[in-house]
Amino acid sequence: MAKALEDIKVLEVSQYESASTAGEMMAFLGAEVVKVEPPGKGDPARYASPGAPKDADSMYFIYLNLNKKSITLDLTKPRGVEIFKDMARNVDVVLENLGPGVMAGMGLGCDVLRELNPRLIYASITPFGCGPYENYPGTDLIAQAMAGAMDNTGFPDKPPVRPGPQVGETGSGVYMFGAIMAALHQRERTGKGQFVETAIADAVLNNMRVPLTISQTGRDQMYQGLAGMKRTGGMTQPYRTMDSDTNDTYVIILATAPHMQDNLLKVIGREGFLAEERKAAGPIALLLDPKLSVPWNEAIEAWTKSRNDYEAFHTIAKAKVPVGLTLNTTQIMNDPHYVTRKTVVQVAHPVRGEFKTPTTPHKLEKSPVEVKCAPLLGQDNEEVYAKLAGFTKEDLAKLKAIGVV
Amino acid sequence: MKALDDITVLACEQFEAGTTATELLAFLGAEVIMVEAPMRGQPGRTIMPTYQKGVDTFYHIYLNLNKKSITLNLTNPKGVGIFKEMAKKADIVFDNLGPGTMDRLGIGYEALKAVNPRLIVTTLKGFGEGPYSDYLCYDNIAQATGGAYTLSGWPDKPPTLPGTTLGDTGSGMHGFVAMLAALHYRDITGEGQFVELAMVDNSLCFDRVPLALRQAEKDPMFTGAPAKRVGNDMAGAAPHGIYKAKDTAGTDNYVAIHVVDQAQWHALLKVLGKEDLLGDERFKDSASRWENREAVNQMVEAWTSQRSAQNAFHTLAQAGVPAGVTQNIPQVMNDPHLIARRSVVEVDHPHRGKFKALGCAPRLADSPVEVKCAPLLGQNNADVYARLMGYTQYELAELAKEGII
Repeated sequence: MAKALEDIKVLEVSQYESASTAGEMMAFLGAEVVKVEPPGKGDPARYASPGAPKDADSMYFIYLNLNKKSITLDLTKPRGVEIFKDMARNVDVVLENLGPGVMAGMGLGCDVLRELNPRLIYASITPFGCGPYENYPGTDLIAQAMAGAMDNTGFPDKPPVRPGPQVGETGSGVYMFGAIMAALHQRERTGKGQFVETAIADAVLNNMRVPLTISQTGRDQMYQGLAGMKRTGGMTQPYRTMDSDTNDTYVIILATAPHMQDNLLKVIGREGFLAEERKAAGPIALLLDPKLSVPWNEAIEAWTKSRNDYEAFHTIAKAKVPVGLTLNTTQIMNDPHYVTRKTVVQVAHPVRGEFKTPTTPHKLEKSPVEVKCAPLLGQDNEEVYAKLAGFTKEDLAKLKAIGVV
Repeated sequence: MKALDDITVLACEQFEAGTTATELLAFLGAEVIMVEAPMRGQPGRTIMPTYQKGVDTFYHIYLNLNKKSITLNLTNPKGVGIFKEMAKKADIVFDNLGPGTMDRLGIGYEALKAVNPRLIVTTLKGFGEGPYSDYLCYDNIAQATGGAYTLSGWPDKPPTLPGTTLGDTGSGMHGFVAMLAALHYRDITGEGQFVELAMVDNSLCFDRVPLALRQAEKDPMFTGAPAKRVGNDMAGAAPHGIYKAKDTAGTDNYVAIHVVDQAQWHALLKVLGKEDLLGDERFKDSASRWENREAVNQMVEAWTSQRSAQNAFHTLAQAGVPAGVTQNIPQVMNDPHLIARRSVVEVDHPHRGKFKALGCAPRLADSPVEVKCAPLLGQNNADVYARLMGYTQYELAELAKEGII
């Protein structure tokens, strides 16, 4: 096999982000991922994106659907449902995020499809997952609210604010990719498929585990100190650089070990600064106790703010001190490290032209990733229907005429 | 049966990113054996002062549920020899130690491949191969590099650290799925391989959607002005954000609402008792509602401020409008839905007693997760060494005397 998942076929009945993410990651590693979209306009992500051109796919859609195939099929029509069921016999995974109960309501629920194909992995992503709120709608914002992420983000003098990353939507897609792979492994051993699910809220919850440890540490004094630091950035403070006002870049340092702190002092020419106090208090107290952290941060910022952003970053990093820059979005997509790793690549879209996009974090020695553009709506009807449903061009034309395809 | 209960993992891991990756494997049944330095164990065990010296931190416990722990001195050639022997019987060797560490210890990929070509050798690094490969990296540095800081918070405030440890846990998630993809390849071909992940790549993955929405749409090659922070807004969506309830106090108990499409808007109007606005031009689609978001937000908050956050949440959700509450940490850990679906579970620790922890996000119907406590340091020396090396208690005692175990 030239790619890790090239023997896997997926029917992806998806909209927006969560299931699209799971499918895209599988597609990057060679799975044949066929997106099944409503005829006419397709996945709402294609068009329901502000600023998207009226007659072309949005970047939001393109970013989430690289390396996939697209077919059109109207699942609200009985004939469409029949065709889907036939195709489901010939695939390994049906992956969906249409919302609680929607697939079942169309006659395409897990029980129905797994009876037709006992080896099928049926994968559902919903906002809350099975439980008291299982029928509640939800998005990334909602999940971030419910799971405590918003409460824990921002500034003490401001309302809760959401983390910018799509922790819930992308996160539930990543977990779903893992769930599918685990189920495929179990299938190798048992010969049977199964139902797998992930919830958007759970994805955020799991990224909150470390802050949530505070809930269990009534007796641990240091944790209580941390609890009082909610929404303060904890042990790190962004340090200004000469480019902060133009590039919005700040230096982030997390030097928790004495030797790292020594190295940092050497870089900024302040060896011996706070030496007695540091010895008495220890490296963590230096960062948490305002009596120490305030002068410490001032000393560091006095140095960083007289340097350019990347210059400060490289100088400190080369001194073996953990450091980063709050890169802005333009910097990220042109960053030499990301480009060298091919984590950011340039792709051509037949209508939108050239664009830069992040790809996959999964670097497998025996599964090199070749990034292909997201498909136009129905781009692969002919090829996929021939293979999965045995349709000729004439069959397709008839189905198009009655709006099934 | 559990999906991965035929898999043995040797884990040279620390802190949060690596431990997260293997904890997910352990939840799904894999035997995850943490290989820890004798006497000290992983740094996470003591990273925060607890109420009593020698007691594991909840930070460590949360991240290492369902695993086993053995002690082994990898700085001693005899210890390295034992590791290589065990690697013959393992399926995965995982590490997230600093750059070059496994190679220096003599258990890098080439060395391990030689003893077991079926081995999946996975490394999770900070920056990974590339121009910055030697630079050290932690959660916040990964988040700074990958865009989380620049995309989070308020326009009038600096880049903000998300309250989720997405750099670490997000990386662990990607490590988890990448290992399973390689496992699938091995299931089909019989071959192991090398898998590499970088925290900075993992972090960037969660930012694809804001990158697309806030910049790529207008500037697909990212040559222009970077995206700005938007607080709780999402361009093109209204309502999208948080609203005051009757019991909003300080930063607690805001109502989060996100209306995605026209159907949800209509449902919202019904709840607000404002169906007379159904045909109103100002709110006829997402773009119009965004233009008139001040009016939208006023109308919504006039309603939410009349009732408690929880009441508003359930009323809206049951009417089909995505809604939530900005829950704080105690609210999250007592959330009835999360408890019912075992996303929050109760566990017992021999020293810490009963505590609440977080469960497993990927759910497999045929591989139920039973959450077990994290192991004490070296808890499994007897059973693991007996199975993998055939050692008796006497031999173990001798090795302990030599400082190997």
